[in-house]
Parts: sequence; C-alpha cells; structure tokens
Amino acid sequence: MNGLARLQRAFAVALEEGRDADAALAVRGAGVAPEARVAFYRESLRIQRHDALAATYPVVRRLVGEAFFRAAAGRYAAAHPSRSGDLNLYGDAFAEFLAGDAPARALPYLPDVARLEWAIHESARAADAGPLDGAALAAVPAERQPAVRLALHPSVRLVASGHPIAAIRAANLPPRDGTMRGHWHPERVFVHREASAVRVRVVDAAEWALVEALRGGATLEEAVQAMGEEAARSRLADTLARLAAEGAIAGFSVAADRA
Amino acid sequence: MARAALSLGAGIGLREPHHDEVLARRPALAFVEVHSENFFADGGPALAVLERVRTLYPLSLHGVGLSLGSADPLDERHLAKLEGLVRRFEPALVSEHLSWSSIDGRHANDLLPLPHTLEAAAHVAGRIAAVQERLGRRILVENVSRYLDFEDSRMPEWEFVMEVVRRSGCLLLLDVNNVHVNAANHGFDAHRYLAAIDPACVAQYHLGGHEAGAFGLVDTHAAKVAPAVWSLFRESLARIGPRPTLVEWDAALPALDVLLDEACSAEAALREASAARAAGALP
Repeated sequence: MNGLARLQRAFAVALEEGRDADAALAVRGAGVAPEARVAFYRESLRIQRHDALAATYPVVRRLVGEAFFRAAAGRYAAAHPSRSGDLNLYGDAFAEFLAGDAPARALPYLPDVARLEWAIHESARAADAGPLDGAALAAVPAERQPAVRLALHPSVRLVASGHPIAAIRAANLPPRDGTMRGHWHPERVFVHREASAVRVRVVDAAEWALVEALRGGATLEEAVQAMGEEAARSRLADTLARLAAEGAIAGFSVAADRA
Repeated sequence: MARAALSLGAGIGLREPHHDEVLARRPALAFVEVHSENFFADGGPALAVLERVRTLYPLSLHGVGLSLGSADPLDERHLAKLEGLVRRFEPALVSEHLSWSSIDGRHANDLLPLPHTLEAAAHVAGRIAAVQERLGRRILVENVSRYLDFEDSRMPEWEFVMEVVRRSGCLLLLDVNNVHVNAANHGFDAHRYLAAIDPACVAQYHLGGHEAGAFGLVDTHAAKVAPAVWSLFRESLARIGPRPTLVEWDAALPALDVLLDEACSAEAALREASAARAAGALP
C-alpha cells in the first residue's frame, strides 16, 4: 500500500493552491499539460468548498458580496481542511475564522451572524425528540414539581451577540433588501426546529437564563433561581407553556429526593 | 419490514428541490436514488421525507464520501452513519464509487481517480469486502469519470474495474456516461470497455449528462443524456443485459418533468432490450 499512499499524498499536495510544480510528478499528460489536469480537480474542489459554505452561510455571503465571500471561502479552505466525507460538517469553524480574518474586520457583527447561521444549520440536522407528555407532567404532584427537570429538544441553540444578529439576518433574507429597521442593540437569539422548519426568535434576559438553565439540566427550582424570583413569578408559567407549545421542551424527568 | 422489491425499470436521482413534488405527484418510477450523505443528519426534515419516499419506492442509497480507495483507514464515523441509514431504510441497493477522496484525514470531497495498479485493486477490494461485511450485504461500486491518469497505472481502466470486482465480490454499477466521457478524454474504445465487463456482476446502470470542457468532456450531471450515451446504453443492454437504470441530474436541476422524460426514455430502451432478449434476438 506504500505506493498508493505516496501517490495520494503527492496528489493532495498538488491540489493545494500554488502547487502546480508538484502536479507533474505523478500525472500523465497525454496531450494536455499535467498541471492543467490537476488544476481541473483543484477548481472543482474550490467550487465544492465555496458552495458548501454558501449553502450554510447565505446571510454572511449577502452581507459581504460574492467576490469577498469567494476570497474568504478560499482562505478558510486553506486554514480549515475538510475532515469528513460528509460536506454538511464543513464550515463549523467559519465564525471563528471570520473573527480572526483581517479583511472581515470592517464588519464586526459578521462572526456572530455566522455563529447564528451555523446554529440554524445544526438545528435543522439535530435529532428528533418528543413530544412532551403534557398530561403526565400535569400529574406530577405539586410538592414534587420543583424537582422536575424539563428536557430541551436537541434542536435548541442559543446565540448571544452585542449586535442585532437576528434582525440583520431577517433583513438580508429574500425578499428583504438588507435595510435595517429599528435600533442597533444587542440580541439574545433562541433557535429551534418546529415541525420541519427552523425558527429563530429574540428572547429577553429572563427567558435566556431559563433556557440556559434547562439546557444545563436544572430542576424547575434551580431554573426559577436562574431566571430571578420576580421574573419567574410573573412569567415562568407562560414562558414554559410557550416553549412546550413550540416543541422546544421534548420531555421531563423528576429528580430523585435528596437524601 | 422486508425490502421493497426492485423491478427492472428506470429511476431518478431524487434531490431536495424535487422532494415535495415527487411526494405529491408520486410519478411511476422503478426506484429512486439519493446521496447517502444528504441523510447523515441525526433527525429533522430530510429524514422525515426519506421515510415517506421509502413507502412509495424502492430506495437506492448512493454514497459519495466513503472514499473506498484511500490509503487512510476506513472512516469509522462515516461507516457507522452509513450503517445506521442502511439498517433504518433497508434500501434495495447500496452503492459507492471506485475512487478516493481523503488522505491523512483531509478530505477533497471529490471522486478522485485511482492508479490502475494491482496494489490499488487489492487495497480497494479489501476495503469493499470490509464494508460488505459490516453492512451484511453486497454493495455496488461505480466506475468514475476521470480527467487524468497516473504514471503508475499498469492496466486499462476496464481491467482495473474487473480486477476490483473479482477480488472483492462486489457488484458493478456501470455508469455508461462515465465510460463515454473517459473513452473520449483518454482515447480508448468504449466498445472494448463494455466487451470486457462480465455481465454477471453488473447490477445497475447510471445515465447522466456531460458537457464540453477545456480539454475534453466533463461529467457535469447538469444536462440531458447525450445521443452518443443513449447509443452506448443500448449497446450495454444488448451486450450485458437489462438492469435497473438511473437517470442522474445534480447541478442546474431542471423541472421534474424533464427528469421523468429521461427516465421514460431509459424505460423504453429497457423494454425494447427485454423484448429482444425474449424473442431470442440476443444472447
């Protein structure tokens, strides 16, 4: 197998940008320059990478324009080689890459928009779960309710930003033309899959704290503390009812009695 | 539940933009084929669609990412995902490509050609056997289009293909368009290729579109099947025999009806060949 491994390594190097000189090592020309034959595969690889990123990050692409996106996709590909035969996993580090990418610095909100788009991509592919057995939950005796742990649906994602990333996204999806309405403010964004579609909505600090606590496996008693007693008193029941109706709560368990 | 029986007819490659329309119209098709990796998600809408599709049609799972020809070890995560899909959807056919994509854990996500050597044939055959063992069934392996040959190659493509099939005990998914494209680009005789194929190992045909590129034909799957490929398909039917046949279209996807028309043409050619066989006009 040594010959095959050696050939595949040489070919992989020749596929990298600017490695035309390596192309002729292993490839027969047969009337065409070996570099041109390798360049054909290199271009097809570039298009694959670009299209995979463009499918996951349509809003980032809209914000920066195709020329910039294409160049950024090339820099990303060089820095983050694909590690799977499943291209759906490609692009997981794009937000992190944009945060450190000098040309992208003119748009400080870009990495957070990318984080939101990756969260949406993951949410769409997350496991199915639920529905919540509402009758069984209602049957939990009142004194045991503080010990209930609500299980979030696997598609739930939380993305916080100092920029209005959900508003930016909404303004840059067809048919909107990118014009932002309202004030520039930080946003906490809750992402989940309802029926077959991924939904994105902005939540306030109390709901964020509640969902984050539930995600960490908190009991209802602990969730109340996370949310703040006052906010919990006025909003806990309604907020949980809404999360359940959306399918974002997929099940529950009751914590064992403390010894 | 038993696997839906695969009848001798034509199917189409089902891509996401056509999901809803196929489910609503339920066109008559012998089977549908999907790319396995498009259903590697843990859950969500794509898998829900596939659950519905499989109640209507026999299913073919066609993988593009397992990288059978890599010198790397088989990707356990990828294989586990594929195994999960095969167990859940019980497809009539499971296929992969006679190509490689990754080395040292880095993936080109493309169907890169192998050198036509005994070493490569033995290596890829061993991996095919391991995959068949894991999945508990024979798989089909497809001949790929290629735009170069390696200095290392020691035999013509058809000999390499048959060497792999013989050594691994897999079945061949004969892509007629790829034979035509490679014959045009590398100056060999497509008829000679077909003559070298053992009919007993061919389990499916692929038909797809190609376009002219900078130095020859490119297998773009973005056009109708070319007249020369239809002609080579009819020759394949005569030499090898009728088999389930798939019309592939992956880029610049047309209206579903265009694809269904192509499948109708394939179906007609299959019927003609079967009738000729029944009449004893063919071996």
